[in-house]
Amino acid sequence: MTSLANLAGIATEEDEYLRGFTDKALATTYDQFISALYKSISTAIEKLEAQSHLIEHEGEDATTARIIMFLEGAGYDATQANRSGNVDIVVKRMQRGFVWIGEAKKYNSVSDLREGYLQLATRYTPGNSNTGISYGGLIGYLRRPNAKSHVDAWRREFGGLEVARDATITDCEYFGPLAFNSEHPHQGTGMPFRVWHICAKLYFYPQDSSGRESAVGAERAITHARLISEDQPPPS
Amino acid sequence: MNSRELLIQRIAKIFGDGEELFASTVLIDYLILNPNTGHINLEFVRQLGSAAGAQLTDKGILRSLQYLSGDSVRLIDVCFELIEDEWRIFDLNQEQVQAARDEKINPITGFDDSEILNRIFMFYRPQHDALARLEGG
Repeated sequence: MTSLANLAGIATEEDEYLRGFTDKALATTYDQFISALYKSISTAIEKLEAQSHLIEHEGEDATTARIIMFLEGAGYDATQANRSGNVDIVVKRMQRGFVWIGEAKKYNSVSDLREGYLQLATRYTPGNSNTGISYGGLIGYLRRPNAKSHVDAWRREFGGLEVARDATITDCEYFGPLAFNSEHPHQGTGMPFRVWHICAKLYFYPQDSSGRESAVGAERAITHARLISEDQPPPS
Repeated sequence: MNSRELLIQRIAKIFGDGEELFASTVLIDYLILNPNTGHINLEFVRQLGSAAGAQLTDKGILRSLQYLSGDSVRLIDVCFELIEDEWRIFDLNQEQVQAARDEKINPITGFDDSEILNRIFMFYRPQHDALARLEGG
């Protein structure tokens, strides 16, 4: 028989599906559910980033489907479901009434994330608990260089949104400066709405000889030059 | 998901054609034939796999059990028990297991017990409604 002590040696943190195994199995509160879920979402994002060379031309929905399928494999009820509009990711634990909603957007500019955040915060019905606190997530698929400058730009933009006025911003324990957490009253419920803002870094531009000298490499170089040029600040 | 075939297809899509698919398939088929099975654990699934000609790893089996007990399927429910000896076996709920894990206490007596996790065991029970839907699908 397998004791909990033995289980720790099987369900290790290195196993992408079994990471946080006992936390998932033992979660009885919404906060515990969210904490376990965030560990799994961080794994899903890391997995996506490790596959950036395979998915560099993939559309937003296909990339989101990868996250959903991973979460399902990790034991969650994760679907693309409709809650007052088209939500990208809904994760539920029906028997306890736990729900988390996530909006995933291709991050070409901060206006993409602004639109995504406004959908998340004002269009969709948030997940909640008996404490009234609700959680959500905004995932930006970034296929551009210099991720930090884009996250910083979104953070500044977010700070100016009327719907997020007086929001509290905290650091992300999983992705450091390339993500952040926010909290402000949800405009519908008036209760705290906590959102995890994640940048999935999917930019792929290898510059070693095999990367440079292939036909694909030449295409990437042109794309890279265009992206660098687009990211330059406008002349004053 | 309401039939064996759909469920197996979904498992193959998520995990590929590996041991998770094999372990899940042998367990699903066993439970359809034996819905009153009371105690499913890693050893049990390992024996099912062995009888079907496969040597399954603990990780592969646990991934399968996690998926089949997960929120999207719930074909089986995760359960815990404290086994003190042959005569003293206690079912534990999740809060009791959390207390044992986080505070290293015996959840029945409340006493400190640094070895408690060696005597708490996880197992699974069939979720009969889900199993009936699977059979009827």
